[in-house]
Amino acid sequence: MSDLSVQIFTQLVTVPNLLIAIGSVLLGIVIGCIPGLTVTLGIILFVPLTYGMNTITAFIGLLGIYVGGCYGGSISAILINTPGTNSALATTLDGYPMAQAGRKNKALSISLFSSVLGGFLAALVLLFAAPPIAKVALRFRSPEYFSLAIFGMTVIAGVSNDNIVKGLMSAAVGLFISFLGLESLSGTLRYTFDTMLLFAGVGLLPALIGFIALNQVIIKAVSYRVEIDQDNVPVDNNISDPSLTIVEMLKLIPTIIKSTIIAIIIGVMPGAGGDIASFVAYNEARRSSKHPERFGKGTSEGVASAESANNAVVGSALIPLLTLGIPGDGVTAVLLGAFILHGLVPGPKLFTDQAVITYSIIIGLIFCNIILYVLGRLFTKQVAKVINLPYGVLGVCIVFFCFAGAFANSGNINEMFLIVPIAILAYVMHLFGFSVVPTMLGLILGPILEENFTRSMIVSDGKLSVFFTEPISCGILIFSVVFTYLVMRMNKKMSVSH
Amino acid sequence: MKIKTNLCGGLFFILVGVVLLLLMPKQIIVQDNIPFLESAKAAPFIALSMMIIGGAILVVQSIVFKKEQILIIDLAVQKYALAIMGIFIAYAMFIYLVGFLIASLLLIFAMIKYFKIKSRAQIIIIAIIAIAVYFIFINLFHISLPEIGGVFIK
Repeated sequence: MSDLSVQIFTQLVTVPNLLIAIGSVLLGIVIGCIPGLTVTLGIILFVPLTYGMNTITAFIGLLGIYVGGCYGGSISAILINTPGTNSALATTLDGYPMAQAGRKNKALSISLFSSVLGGFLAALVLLFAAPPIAKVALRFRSPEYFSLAIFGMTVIAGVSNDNIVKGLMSAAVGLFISFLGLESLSGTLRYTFDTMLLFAGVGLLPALIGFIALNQVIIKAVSYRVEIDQDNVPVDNNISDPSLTIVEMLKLIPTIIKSTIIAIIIGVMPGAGGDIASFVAYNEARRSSKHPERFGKGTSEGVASAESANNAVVGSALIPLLTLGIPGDGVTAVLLGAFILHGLVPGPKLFTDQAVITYSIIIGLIFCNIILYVLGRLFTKQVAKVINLPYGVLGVCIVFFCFAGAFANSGNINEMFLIVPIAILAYVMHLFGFSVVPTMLGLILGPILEENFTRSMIVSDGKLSVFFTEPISCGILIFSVVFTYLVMRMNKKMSVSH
Repeated sequence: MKIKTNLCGGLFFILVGVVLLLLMPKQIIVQDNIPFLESAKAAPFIALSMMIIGGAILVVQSIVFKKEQILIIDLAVQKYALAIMGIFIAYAMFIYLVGFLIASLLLIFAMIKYFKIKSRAQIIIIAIIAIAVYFIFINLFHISLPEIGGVFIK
């Protein structure tokens, strides 16, 4: 056994890591199954709690929430026809009809089995595919990194609904906020307005909490407050039908493998997240099925294809994140922020300079998938009861975590105050049809873009053409345009088929 | 109240972008011998330019191409948004004045009113979670939270 393997084993296989993995996967399932709580929100609120942990434990916790949340979204999708997460939208197509036909347990166990197998296979692909990509990326210099950050911004195309201009403007807001305060290369102060409040700029975590978490509380609280007088119909949680048999599991494996491959390809593309992957995999499963007419009426293959795809995206979206430092979707954008907050810079050097941590995180993801299966078998029925929990209770609890988390970031009370105006700005942007996900991307990728832009300008004597004369950089920029077009087309197709 | 979001959003971002660009010479002071593209001004300039150009495109979309997204602001609904924003502002101030724990208990009272929570079990769950958050941060994760008058304990 090599030294690296021994180090990974000793640092990964510890009691705290196991406990955190179990706790975070369970927390992820709970967060995922509650409509209105997102995986992104769960990860943002968990980040401050990871400050006291070592890096491996912290990221096992964050990935545990991601893995658990992707499965958890299917619980409410199947039981109440409301996906807990966007990526579980395709699961409603066959999951809910199965539940209505009295096959709730069957649908949930198909979802669990497919999620785990899809997630597990994608994590294996991540383990073996990421290092060679990182090796190639080691040759990259500032122009290539700048172009890569631009490539990362193509996520905007996937989250801007029908107006990419608004998406770009949202990103510009995030970029501008990320440039406030002390500039790292020259030490210049920018837009501080002579107040100490902005001297160090706006912290990444408080900004994410304000833009995503607290903003979601305002949006959800307003809609909940409006509907408060309407009677809530409690969910029938009686899940007593037989579970999935081994023969049924074996029959589903070809569908799961095909959907996983599709999701891995889609997942590595910036902007195309689990929702697109699950719809594409679902459509392919229906197209290639001997009985396409059964799709939409409660077929096992429908649930299996959608669920294996959305969990496979967890692993595949980490490939560009870990090897190139570019996020594949909103969740990985937050994970990128978490890496930065923990003092790590995702990119090819992660596999050489921080090999133990990086491989431990990847193998930890594989373990999280295994843990998901065990926890899913044991606790899905209990977790399903959480769907009935009123938002009034959840909302207050999220607010506690938002304020405590923003303060814990640096111990600076000013950062805690900042989350309120940021959340108000985000709410106004939301009202005017501006998605805040591009803002989040701008916030996270802003410093990376600026640093590599400035370095490129210094080495090329201020020639902007450097990004096009360097072949790899030029290729990445061309890919960015092509991917933006492809993702916009996929989004359009998805909304039409919806 | 009906609002043309492309027109209003576009004009708003043009205004913000132009004002911030005009403020740039005073807000970012760099040495004269540093070329603009290598200076600390370049990145904010690009971001602000994106805002202004994007804003201009939205205005053109609205006025010339009549492509518009109408926002209907229902004041009866938005009063709830204002109320919860007010609660958050008050909560932040109370955290500074009386510390996290007491401010959180006050937040619970406000939110009970806001969400019209009547169930005692739910109120107890919220209170337990507030206290749990406080002790988890301080004792389990060793992260300080504000106490009375901005004094922090570990």
